Amino acid sequence: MLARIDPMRVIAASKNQMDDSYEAGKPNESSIAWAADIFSKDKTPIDINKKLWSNDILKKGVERSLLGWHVSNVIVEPCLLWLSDQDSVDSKWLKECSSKDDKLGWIKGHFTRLYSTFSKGIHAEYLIDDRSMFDRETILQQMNDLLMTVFLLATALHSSPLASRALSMEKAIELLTRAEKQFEQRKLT
Amino acid sequence: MNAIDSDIRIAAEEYSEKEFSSHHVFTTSDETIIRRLIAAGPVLLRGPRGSGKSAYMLAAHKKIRSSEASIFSVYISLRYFPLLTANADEYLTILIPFVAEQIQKELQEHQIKNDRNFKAISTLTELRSSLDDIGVQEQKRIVLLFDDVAHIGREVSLSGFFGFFRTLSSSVISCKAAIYPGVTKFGARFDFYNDATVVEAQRDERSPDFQEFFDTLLKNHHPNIYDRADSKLLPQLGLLLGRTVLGNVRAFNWLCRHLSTYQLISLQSFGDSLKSYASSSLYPALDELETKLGSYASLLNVARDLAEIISKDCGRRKVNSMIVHRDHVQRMGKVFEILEYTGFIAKREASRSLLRSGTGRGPRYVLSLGPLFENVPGSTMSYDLAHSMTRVNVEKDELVEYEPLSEIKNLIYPEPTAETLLDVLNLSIDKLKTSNAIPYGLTDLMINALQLGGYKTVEDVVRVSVETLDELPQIGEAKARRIRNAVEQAIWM
Repeated sequence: MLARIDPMRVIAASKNQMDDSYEAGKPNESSIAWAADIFSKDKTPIDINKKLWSNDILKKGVERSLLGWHVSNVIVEPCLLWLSDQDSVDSKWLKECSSKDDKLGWIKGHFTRLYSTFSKGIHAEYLIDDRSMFDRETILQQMNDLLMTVFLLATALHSSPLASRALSMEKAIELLTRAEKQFEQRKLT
Repeated sequence: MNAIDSDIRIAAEEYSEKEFSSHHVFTTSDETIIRRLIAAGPVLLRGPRGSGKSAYMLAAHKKIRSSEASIFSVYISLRYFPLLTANADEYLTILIPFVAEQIQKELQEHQIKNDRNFKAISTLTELRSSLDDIGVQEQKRIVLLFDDVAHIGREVSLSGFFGFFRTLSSSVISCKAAIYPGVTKFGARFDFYNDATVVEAQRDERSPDFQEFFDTLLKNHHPNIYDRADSKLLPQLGLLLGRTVLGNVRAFNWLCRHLSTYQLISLQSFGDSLKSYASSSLYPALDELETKLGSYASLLNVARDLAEIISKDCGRRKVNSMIVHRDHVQRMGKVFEILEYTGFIAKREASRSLLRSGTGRGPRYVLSLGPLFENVPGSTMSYDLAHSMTRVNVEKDELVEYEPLSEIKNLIYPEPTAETLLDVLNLSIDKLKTSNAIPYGLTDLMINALQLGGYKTVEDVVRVSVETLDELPQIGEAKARRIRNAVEQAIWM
């Protein structure tokens, strides 16, 4: 998704990885970071009384993270509105997204929680019994939420005229419903 | 269970544990909701009355109890009178000991020993650390299911509750709370999207199992209708009834009871029932709210006017779906919520383009088939009309849209008054007599017994236990419970 809306950001990472200066054992200048490339690095929200595109705000530069203020304003939010105009008969995920007043807030809320929850598994930080924290129901639910929000956002971004190598909108919706069906079938096994 | 008992049990929590399974049907979509309630993480379960919130919560609780899962759950109905009348300052001092007491009861039922005395808990810190101890001791995570948390019109205490909900939630403790769609005040500390996952409890006609659910319900719970239905109508009857009540099971049962009075269940009697549903259930439901809405009671007249406008417009076009420009919804949000609450309309999508006028965006609502059919010119039911009224996808030029300058703009929206104690508490007890507005009401015998016992108002009865009511002449345990349920339904919506 990041590559689709900001190709240069990902091309830079790719070129940097082929450069002699790149070191696999440490963060590099081009490393993709959750709090900078996906969410805004600056946790203080923009003062809503100031205009998003005013000199005051832009003096720090355009905020280019995928779900940051500027990209959301021009790309993500219009794409999510497009998505909510699609008929959702075949997709529970689409139906769920359509029912939310603040779709971006809903997706960001999920991402924040899921990123934190799934990283617990990586860092093995639970000192209490993790079998009771990550039981089957919980994992399935979180997998559902993860796939749902990632696929919805990915589908929506194909509708932006600023997206590179975008699929046709029909194809994007078809892939969304196919992914949802595959998950529904697999979780039962 | 006899027919009368069956009629009066309109809420899931009124069934015994044994009866619950035989009276409730859950589809694949329902199982998804139940799984959400079982899984770790905070959840707000949102739906209008009769949408099945309590049933979902009880089903989750029951499933946890009967499984070997490492989960300990407690179902806590907040239909606790002192909470209803509490002001913001005293709310938590009542809530915390009440919740602790319910947890203690559940621990005792499971014979779980603990060193903590839950009955003595009075602060949130004590409650949380005691629950953490239980989690560690039993190697279980904890699910707290809070039912009937929030009531439209009684929102003064909600910031207290949602602060409590947020503070109590942890990796060990998952809080789940049932709320109504009209609840919008969550307090400054509660972030709606970050502090909980919102799950919609409404049955949606776009779900693949919508028809199957109502067919099953019809067959299992209303065989007298199923067996007498016209053979051409029968394959569609569950769907038509489900669409009439916008997926609401409580309303579905009302409609079935009405339909069962006909000798032959034909398309004609279905049409007649639609009109009765509008005039004898939906409009009286608005009247019933008069004494329960607190600060929003002044909005009821606007709600009636709005219901009339949308019913006429949808009736003229024979469609049950409309898009309302967001300016109208922002201006009169509570009026739309009252209509949602009473079952006239249900919100299906938060934001769609007003395609015909191209004037912007707004939520899409569906309208009950009752008031819709009442307003179709000519009003003669036919299969073509039934098909037209139940279309899920409506062509652009047939859509009912309310653009910014439409008739709705002329409705005057009165400011809500300051919150006061609910008028319903001062009602004379005879106002709870069974009627169209109060289908779960009291019989003459019960009213007489209560009056002779010195119980004059609703408030007099709500403070009295079932055991005390049982001691009244001519009132046995079953009648005492029915009185109790009737009073609770009257107050808690």
